[in-house]
Amino acid sequence: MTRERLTGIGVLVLGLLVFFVLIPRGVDQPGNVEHAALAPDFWPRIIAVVIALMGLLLAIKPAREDDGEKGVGEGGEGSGAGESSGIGEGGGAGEAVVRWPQRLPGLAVTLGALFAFYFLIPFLGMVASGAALIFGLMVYAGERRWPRGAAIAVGVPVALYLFFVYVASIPIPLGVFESLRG
Amino acid sequence: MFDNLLEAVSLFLTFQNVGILFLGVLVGAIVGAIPGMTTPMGVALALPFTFTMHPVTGILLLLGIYKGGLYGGSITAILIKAPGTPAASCTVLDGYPLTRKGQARKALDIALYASCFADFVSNLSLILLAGLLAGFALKFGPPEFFTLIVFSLTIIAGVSGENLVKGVVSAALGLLFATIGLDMVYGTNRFIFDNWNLMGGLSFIPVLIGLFALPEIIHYFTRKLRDFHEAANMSGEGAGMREFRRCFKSILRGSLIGVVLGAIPGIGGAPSAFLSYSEAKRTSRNPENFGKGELEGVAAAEAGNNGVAGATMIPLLALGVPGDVITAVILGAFMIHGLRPGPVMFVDNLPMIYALFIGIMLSSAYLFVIGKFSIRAISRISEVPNRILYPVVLVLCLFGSFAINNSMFDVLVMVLMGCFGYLMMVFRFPAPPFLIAFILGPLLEDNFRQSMILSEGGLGILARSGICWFFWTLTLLSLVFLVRSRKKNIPLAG
Repeated sequence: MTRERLTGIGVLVLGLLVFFVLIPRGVDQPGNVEHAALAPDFWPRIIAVVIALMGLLLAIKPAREDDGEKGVGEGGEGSGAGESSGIGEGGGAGEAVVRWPQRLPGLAVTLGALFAFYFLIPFLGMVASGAALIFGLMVYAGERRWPRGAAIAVGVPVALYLFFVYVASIPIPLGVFESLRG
Repeated sequence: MFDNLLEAVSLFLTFQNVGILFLGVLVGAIVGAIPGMTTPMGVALALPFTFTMHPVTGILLLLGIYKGGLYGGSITAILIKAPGTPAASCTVLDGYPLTRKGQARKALDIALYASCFADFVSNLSLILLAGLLAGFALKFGPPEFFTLIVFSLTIIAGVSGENLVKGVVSAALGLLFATIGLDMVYGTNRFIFDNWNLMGGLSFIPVLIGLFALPEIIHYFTRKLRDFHEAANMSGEGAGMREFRRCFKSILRGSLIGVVLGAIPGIGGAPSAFLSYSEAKRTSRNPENFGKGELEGVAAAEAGNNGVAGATMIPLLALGVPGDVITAVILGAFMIHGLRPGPVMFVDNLPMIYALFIGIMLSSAYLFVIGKFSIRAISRISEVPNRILYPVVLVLCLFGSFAINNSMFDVLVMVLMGCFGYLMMVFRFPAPPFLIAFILGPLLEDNFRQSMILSEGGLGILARSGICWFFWTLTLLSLVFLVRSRKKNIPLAG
């Protein structure tokens, strides 16, 4: 079973799940629907059918396996050819293919840092959490010039705070540092 | 007319507008020049900063980034063979060989001249055609708008990357996510699951930032962390009027190709650049020089690429439908400011449209000034290591998502959409169809249901007029063209 075929089966299951589980549970039906095309679940059902059909198509006729195997392993800073996709997939100058097991630590660190940031905001506020996030990720990525790293880590969140609070008049939470607000 | 123009001049001529447009073009050129950063990413990150600005100022900032980004992609394409955009990959063909020959400065100059000229021609076409098209669109009712939006959804085929089926799945998911919230006709819940934060639907900006910026950042940290930068070698003499005159025919042809292809939803800069390049090669006296460092090749590619910039705004401003990913983001920006581009805007907010036109024309001049005097600085900035760039961009994303509604829920949506976008990236589902469908979904459903109310459930209303038939035919033709282009491996929607 190829990866692309499995992806197709996954999409098919998703479509069926939306049609048979999510829509009945998540879309409230009013009692006075005059025409089926006006019902609140009309569009979601059509969309679910399209997803399921496309999943079936992917499962029956998967893309070439080499495309699938390439995965995201060859993305790179080289070309950044992601204008249309928003995702760089280009030439990958100076980068080797990275297999999945090698990706997991980086994935865990990034997602862990993101969720830690989210849950720390009520306590530390956005500026301190943001500084910690920048510094932590920079060090993880290999930045060894500590003074430069620290200056950027503190300077960027502070600059964003000043812009949003004093230029855009949008209050930014400071957590335990709330007393420092001028 | 004259009153509207005067009002537009007074609306535009503020220090803030003139300055912010310059800043936008500069930032766009830098973003476009940084391999790994994309123009949609740049526009998405700038969007939160426009909330408190006047709508004209905010839109001008985004337009500036768009135009600067189109040009910026060519800088690294020429200097280090790393195109910042897919369209700029055509510029590499002759731009990089010129750099290897020690004529980088000449290539950069001709790319700049071609870009500015094509941008100017494209802007003129926007000004001349958008009003005419909007006047025609005033006759539209819900069925006509429905067929128009169906037509504009064909751009999904153009932005689907290598696998159309996956593009359709991505678009369907975008349509599904757009249904979250209260039902527009009955006011009942759809996919809210007792979370009141979802009653108004998902906010556009967290979805946009989550999909377009976060996956790239997560992707960076999951790779072998190694920054690679080739030093930019900006050697040789510049290009002058003599070179411009020599390439003028190709530049003009490329500009016109850009205008025509840019005005058609879903095609974008890349096919325009490649078509312009191939035409220049076909009609050249020295076709054998193309690909080996021919100045005319750089000029043709850049003219084709930048010729779409103003033209993609024609369907957006006149009809309210985006022509590519970036104009979809700009459509979202209009909506955030409580504006709905389209024919009605030409009636209700004409001075604002004219003010945008003035700004768009000025952006061509800014592009020239920035390209001429700050190319060296821009190419240096583009060397900033990704280990510094990406954490900074990440925090920018988080602040921007929070700032929309002062809501931690929006930050959570952005993070979750980022994870979702990363999964899409891993399984090679393209993100742009999702975003375009997410934006157009409510319009599509709203116009469909209004049509059904008008016809009391009869589907025949969707073919009630010549305009409906016109758009059904265009949809069919567009699909045939896009599918055939895919079979010929022509890159789309750059």
